[in-house]
Amino acid sequence: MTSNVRAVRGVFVALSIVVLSLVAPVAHAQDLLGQAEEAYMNVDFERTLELARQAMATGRLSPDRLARVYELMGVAYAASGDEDASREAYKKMLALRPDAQVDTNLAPRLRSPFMEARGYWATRSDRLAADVVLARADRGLRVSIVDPLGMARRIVVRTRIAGEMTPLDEQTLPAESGVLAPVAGLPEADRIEYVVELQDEAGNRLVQLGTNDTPNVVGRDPVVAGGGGGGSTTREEGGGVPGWVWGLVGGVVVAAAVGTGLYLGLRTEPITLRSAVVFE
Amino acid sequence: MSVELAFPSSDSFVRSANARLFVVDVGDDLGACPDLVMQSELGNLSGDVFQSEAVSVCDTSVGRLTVPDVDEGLYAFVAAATNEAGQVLLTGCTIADPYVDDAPLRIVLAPTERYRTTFPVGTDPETCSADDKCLRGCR
Repeated sequence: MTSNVRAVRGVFVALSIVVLSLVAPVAHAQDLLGQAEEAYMNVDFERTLELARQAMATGRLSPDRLARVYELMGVAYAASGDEDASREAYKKMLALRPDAQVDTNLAPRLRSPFMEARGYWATRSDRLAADVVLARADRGLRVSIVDPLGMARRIVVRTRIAGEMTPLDEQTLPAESGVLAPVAGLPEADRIEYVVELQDEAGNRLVQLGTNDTPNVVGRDPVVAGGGGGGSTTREEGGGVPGWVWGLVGGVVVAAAVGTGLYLGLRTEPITLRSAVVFE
Repeated sequence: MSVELAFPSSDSFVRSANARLFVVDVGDDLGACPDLVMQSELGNLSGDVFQSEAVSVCDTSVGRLTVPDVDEGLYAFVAAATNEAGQVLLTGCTIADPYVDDAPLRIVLAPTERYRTTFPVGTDPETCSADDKCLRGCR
């Protein structure tokens, strides 16, 4: 009896340690960010900067929180007179949140680097982004990234065959566009669940596609017994719907457009009758 | 395109106060007019495609009675002219497809029983003309 209690207690302690080891770093990062916010509210820009750097160094920040850290750093740098560093911080903030604004109550001197950073992005058409397609022939997922500021250091890809109750298989790839993440089970597997994280030097997430709880899915609909055919495909390189099908669809669309144009062009204008009076 | 209301005389125009126009979808029924005229004379016609408000015959003469955006097809165009009391004095009907038939679309108005009893043969002619009525307001 006593040994059973000890065993149960041991399992509980072990589980607690595992859970804490996963949750604690995130909580620590959020705590540091909270302290940085507090320092910012107290107009202690030096401490704001220090705490923001510490929060960033934890490497556990989500894209939104990381954007906020960059914003705090932008203000703190501007307040300390380092406009270049402030502008760079704001540029990174806007990379993560293109529609972000800064506190409208900020003094013009503190807002100026933000306006310059916004001007930088206004002249560019590219934005920080990541995209995934299923490269069935190459037995993997191909990850494309756009990283105008060179913020990304690695791509973390987690995958599993959709429907399987197994943990996601994780691999880390260099932050290069077009890298292939091999996936066991391809090319036969119909659909692949995936999570892709574009991470910075410290491990903070710059871009996240899917989560461990709700991964994204790529692939084709499973073949239904007796249904014939392979079903539709989504976000899949090569294979999939034959080109002639798209040609046919395109032809139909063009024909419809031409027909509509002809109808509108040739249609008689509606007649409006206007009265007049005559005497027989 | 104009729709002409052909009054039988200038006097009949002067004796009328208002006019209404009804547009009825008759399908292929080219013989629908007599029944429609009867209904308009009795005052219970409704134009399923269009029916105008009562418009002064003077306004009618200068194009202020309009039938907007008529679709292609065969319709009965029914007109009724009434006196100040709303009694129908003149009615007329024509069946036409305004997209096919030549303009103008003419509706020949004929006196109703009400007109014949109010203005029997031998009634003195009106002392003002159509122009007088519309420009100076006689009658």
